[in-house]
Amino acid sequence: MLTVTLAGLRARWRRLLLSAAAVALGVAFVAGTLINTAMVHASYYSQFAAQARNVDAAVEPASGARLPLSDLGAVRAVPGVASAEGRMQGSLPIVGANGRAYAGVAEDLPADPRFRDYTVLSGGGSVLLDEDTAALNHVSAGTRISVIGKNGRTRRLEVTGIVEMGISNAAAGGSVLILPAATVRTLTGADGYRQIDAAAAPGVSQSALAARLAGLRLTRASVMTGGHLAAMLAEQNAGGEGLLSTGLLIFALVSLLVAALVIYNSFRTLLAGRLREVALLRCVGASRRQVMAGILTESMVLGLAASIGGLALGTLLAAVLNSGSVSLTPSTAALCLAAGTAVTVGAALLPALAASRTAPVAALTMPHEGKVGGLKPRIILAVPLGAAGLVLTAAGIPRGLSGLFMIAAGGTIFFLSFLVIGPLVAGPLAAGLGWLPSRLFGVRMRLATVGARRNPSRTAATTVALTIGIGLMTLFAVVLSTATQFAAHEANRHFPADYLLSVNRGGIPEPVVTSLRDNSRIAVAVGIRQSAVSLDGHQVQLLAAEPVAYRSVFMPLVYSGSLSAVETGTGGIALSAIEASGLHVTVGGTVSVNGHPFVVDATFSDGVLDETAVTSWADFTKVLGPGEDTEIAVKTRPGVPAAAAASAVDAAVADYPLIDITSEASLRAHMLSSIQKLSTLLDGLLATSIVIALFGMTNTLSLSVLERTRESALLRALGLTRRGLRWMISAEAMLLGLMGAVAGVTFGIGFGWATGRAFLRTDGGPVSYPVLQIVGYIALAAVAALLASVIPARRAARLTVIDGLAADLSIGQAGCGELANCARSTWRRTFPDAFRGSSSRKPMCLGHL
Amino acid sequence: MLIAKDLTKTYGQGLNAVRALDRVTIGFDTGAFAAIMGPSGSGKSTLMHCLAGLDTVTSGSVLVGDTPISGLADRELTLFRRDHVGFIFQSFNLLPALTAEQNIRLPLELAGRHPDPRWFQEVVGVLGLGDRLGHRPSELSGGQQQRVACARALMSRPDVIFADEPTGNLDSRSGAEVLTFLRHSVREFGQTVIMVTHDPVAASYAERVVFLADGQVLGELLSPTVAQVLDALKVHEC
Repeated sequence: MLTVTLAGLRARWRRLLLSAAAVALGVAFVAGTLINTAMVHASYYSQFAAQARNVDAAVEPASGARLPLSDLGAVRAVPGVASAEGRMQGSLPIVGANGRAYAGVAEDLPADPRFRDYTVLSGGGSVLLDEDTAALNHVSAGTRISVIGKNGRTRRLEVTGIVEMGISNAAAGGSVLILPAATVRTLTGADGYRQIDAAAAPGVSQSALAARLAGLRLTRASVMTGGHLAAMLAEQNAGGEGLLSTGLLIFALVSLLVAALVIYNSFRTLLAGRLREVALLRCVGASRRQVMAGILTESMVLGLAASIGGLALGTLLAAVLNSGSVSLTPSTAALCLAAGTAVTVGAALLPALAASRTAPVAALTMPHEGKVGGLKPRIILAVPLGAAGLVLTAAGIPRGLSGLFMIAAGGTIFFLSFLVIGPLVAGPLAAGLGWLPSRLFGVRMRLATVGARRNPSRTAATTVALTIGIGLMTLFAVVLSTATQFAAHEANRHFPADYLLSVNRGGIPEPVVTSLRDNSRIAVAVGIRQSAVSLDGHQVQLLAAEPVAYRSVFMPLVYSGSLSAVETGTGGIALSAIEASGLHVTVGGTVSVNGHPFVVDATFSDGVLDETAVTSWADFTKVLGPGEDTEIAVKTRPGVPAAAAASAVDAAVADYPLIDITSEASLRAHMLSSIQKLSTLLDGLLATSIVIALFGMTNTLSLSVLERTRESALLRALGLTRRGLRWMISAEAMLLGLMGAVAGVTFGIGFGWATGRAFLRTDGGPVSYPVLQIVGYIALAAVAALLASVIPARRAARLTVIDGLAADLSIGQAGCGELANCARSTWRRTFPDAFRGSSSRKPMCLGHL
Repeated sequence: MLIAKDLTKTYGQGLNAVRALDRVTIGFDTGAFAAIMGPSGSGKSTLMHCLAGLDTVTSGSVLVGDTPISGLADRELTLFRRDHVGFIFQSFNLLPALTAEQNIRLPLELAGRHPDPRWFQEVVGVLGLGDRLGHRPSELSGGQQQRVACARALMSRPDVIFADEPTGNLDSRSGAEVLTFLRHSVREFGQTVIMVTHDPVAASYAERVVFLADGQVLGELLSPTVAQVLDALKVHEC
């Protein structure tokens, strides 16, 4: 039996090579994604938790307090502490290039370089500015900048270096200036540490060190290990390690699915030859077990070898993507090899099982193309599956954000039904998409359409990999676009201010407000006050706006109750919906704010407004006493040009550099750019799946070109030029690409709509479809498919007519050549006499046996 | 008129070189029905390929009608075949995904032309394919498939039709039908047909049989009978 397996391998080596390539590519994709995931994860973790770098134990003060300066000495004195650093931070706005104050903080420069949570990009020294602020304000090492110290005094500093900060909450988008600890104290008035970090001496564990520090019993302070601190920071900054891992795992799973499809599809293409070969072996007396054992051995060897190649390729790809550095864990390697081998064996066994179930003689004469097996079972399976997916999705939509998991599950189930029904719709879809081009481009296009239709199972499997990538890209595009539009729409509808003036410390001086109100270009300038208060024991941000605001710039979206009492000031309070449900209060209930009782009058959408509670202007004063406005919302008169309005606002604040001006337009730009970044990241990850899908397409096309060698040669004999043949194969590929894209876009728009609706819940505007972007995806798929066809098309065109006509590869009605060849080479070895005298040129045809 | 002069075709290089055609000079009249016979390896297929512009020649020249095709590049050869040559193969070589009618129209459509409806009807009528036009090759018998191939070859009224063992895959009745049609197309339509075969019965349908061995023309028979062909084959040790 081994002889037969080996002979088979030799006879089909070219096709097996292509299948091996498919396995290798699939595994490479999974390996690349997993390696990248691990590395992205590690780099995110180290970025988000940069402050915990080299920290073995940390002492933190109680919320809002600071550790006294004396604590540092106490920590340093503890045995086992190799070094300790008091971390200091204070608010220090800098004056930006536009002359306006720029919110920011000053942090101490750790004396021990191990505790540095930044990377120096240029320069050095002890006055270091973060790169984003530097880039925005054209600051480089050596530039002098102004900072606004305590009491509002402006000081000049020379920046000596630019640094890259890890992502942290401390800066929250503002500037970070790193200065010697003493300078931080003088400039900001910070009088204590927000954290004391300690590194352990050799041989002292993190937990031992933390236990010893806890033994100091410092007042109002807690001690944690460095590991705990890192996890906490990652949780705070990255929205939880779990979320990140889940997201990246989903991409790895998508990659595995795409890879499995590509591998399976490639093996399916071997089905025709395989089926007859198995049947033939059974005819001449091989038992079913022998046949299966042979195929199992062959596919395991092939799968494992190709998986190893794929793993190497994937590691290489990851290394290229990550500019050289790569870390391959044993578990990743094992997973890739196991997945690659398992899928290969599965893909090879399925056709063989099908063949062994058929009566050998029937299998020999079975037609092989154009038939999709199991019409009825497919429909019976797909319809309830699709319906279940749609029902689950429909049930998830009204549940809002908590229904997203149901929608995701529904989408997955629906997609499974799509996989089942795919071979049935692929033919009509190809015919539909190819109809117009066939009319326009004539017989070559018609032949290409026919080529795409002739094996619907293969066509479906080839395009579905592309469908996944394009589908997910479209879905994300729709969701992100809807989110952007919703946020902008909400902001416009409920907070239609054109400018927001805010101040980092203290209040906005009265002359600014007066000057704004006196200006004819300004319609409204409304004072807003906010402060941290205790609401039933929770620290929340309380906000109040002048009564006039409620009709002009401040119109939160009310979920339940009414804002009229809050507007007029009769002791009511409005809470954000999330806060209200967290406190378990509804409209009509009572809460206490810093000890004062308030009746809950309304709950409002937390989509746009950051603050969690709103009272009337009068009640705010009653609870917190008189004070200055912290923000001014400005609305310009209709018809005033943007430039004129901006100059009016600038003029009003000219004498007050501490006041920060935010324009609605710049907010929107900011929002768009962050969504754009997210979209680019997602597209990048999904583009990898598209690249693999295209490799799969190249592979399938190569196989089908090989299979159709004789047909291609015939067309050439009948007068199709080489270029015409290349054109035809490229057209077929583009048709496949378009089919995948159209299916993907349909899926993406449908489930993007469902996700968007759930996100918008019952309120908000319509779901937004980024048409240009989606059309771009379709074009991308078509162009990429064209690229995928280059190699197969060239290969097809290179063959001479005579070689092609004599080829033994065709599995058309006349071609039993490949099988006959294979059988002959096997038999010749086994029964040397049988072939004596028979022509070696013309394979004998099994149909005549 | 189809003329081959000093046609030589060599495969391989140096010591391994095999001379498949050795200075073959032969001519075929317009409207002739000729058969080429010879044992395996005699060069009859190579001769046909060279005459049809499917293969390049090592030396010598081929003139089809008034076109010298031995110097043409691949693209020119393709365009030449499209308009001037028809093919009938042993294994039919129809495109399985196209219907009989689409297969028949294929060569003309590749050239961007439409068949003359009257000509189409006449050919299809003579071949008795009228009720089979919508069928795919897999739904047709071998004889029917070969008749579709005949119609396809005739559709562009080529200068010459090459038939490569046209009855090799057919039973004797279907084979006789195809051969009768080929003779009919020569006599009634003035078509030139050159057929490669090793079947003396098939050869007896031709007006002339050329015998080939070891790449050289050994002789020929005019208006042959089966017995004459068999005798000639014995003489030439085919």
